[in-house]
Amino acid sequence: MHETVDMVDADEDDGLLSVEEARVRLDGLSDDEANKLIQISKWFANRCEVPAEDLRQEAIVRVLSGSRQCRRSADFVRFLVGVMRSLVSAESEAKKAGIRPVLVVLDSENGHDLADNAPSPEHLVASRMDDGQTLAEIDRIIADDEQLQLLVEGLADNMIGADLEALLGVDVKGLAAARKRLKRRLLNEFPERMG
Amino acid sequence: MSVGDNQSMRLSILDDFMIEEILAAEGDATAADGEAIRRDVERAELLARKSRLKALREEIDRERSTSRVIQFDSERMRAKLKAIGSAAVSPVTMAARSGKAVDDDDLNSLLEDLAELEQDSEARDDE
Repeated sequence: MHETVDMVDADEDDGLLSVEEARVRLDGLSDDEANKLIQISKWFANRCEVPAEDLRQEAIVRVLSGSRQCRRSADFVRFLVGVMRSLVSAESEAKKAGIRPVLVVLDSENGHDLADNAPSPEHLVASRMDDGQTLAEIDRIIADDEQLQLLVEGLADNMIGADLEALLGVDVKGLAAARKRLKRRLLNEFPERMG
Repeated sequence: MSVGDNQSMRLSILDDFMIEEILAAEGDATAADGEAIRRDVERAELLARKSRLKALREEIDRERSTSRVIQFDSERMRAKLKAIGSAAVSPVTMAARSGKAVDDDDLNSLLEDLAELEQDSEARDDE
């Protein structure tokens, strides 16, 4: 499971925000920070069968229940992004293992139940294709833009800065424009996959 | 590296790209974004409370399903048992044990039952 360095389990309580302090940070999120969280949750929602809104809420539940705590010195927005990423990662790993999704049933009348961890035969077949399907969808989205295809390949090869500029044949501004275009297209052109 | 690992790695790199691009971008945020997050927080608060309630209910159910541990003053219960009258108790126990004497386990069990009865009686009185 992916976890950021700013996110720790509840039993490591060295310099961590309490639940009450985290609640204050949540209440104090600016419109800009909220906007960024919403955009990132939409990206992650493309990766799992959970609506972006539910993903955000579940991340906040983890924070308010104290199961995920933020280091006092950490960037709180990045911490929340890390919690969402961790949830998506857990979901993805569970699917690959043929296990039912680990995300919660948010509409349960009796609280948010963890889903059954029993093997899910339908996922044994379907989920193996999941990452591949997501990547195929990304390829489809940028199929008409060779520059974006090069950018994705360059990123996948861990290229940065000047190397990416050279690969795309652009200057700093051109690379920034390409990055912005890729972000916009991946955010806006992914088909709805949310259950 | 397997095909699956390679795909996960590529997606992870794209996650990093999207996160950094979104966090670094000049925002076009509106008040609606802030309101949406506040709604998320309110809903999450409710879900967290329901979850705590559910956990509490499950704990109570677990406690109910396990045997009770009765703590009591052994000497006081022995005295109480004596006051009730050993003649009233022993024959029954003897008969049930085919004439064998009451051993320590039987006696402790008897004292525990008596203490439980007393505690239940006190609890009913409190109600």
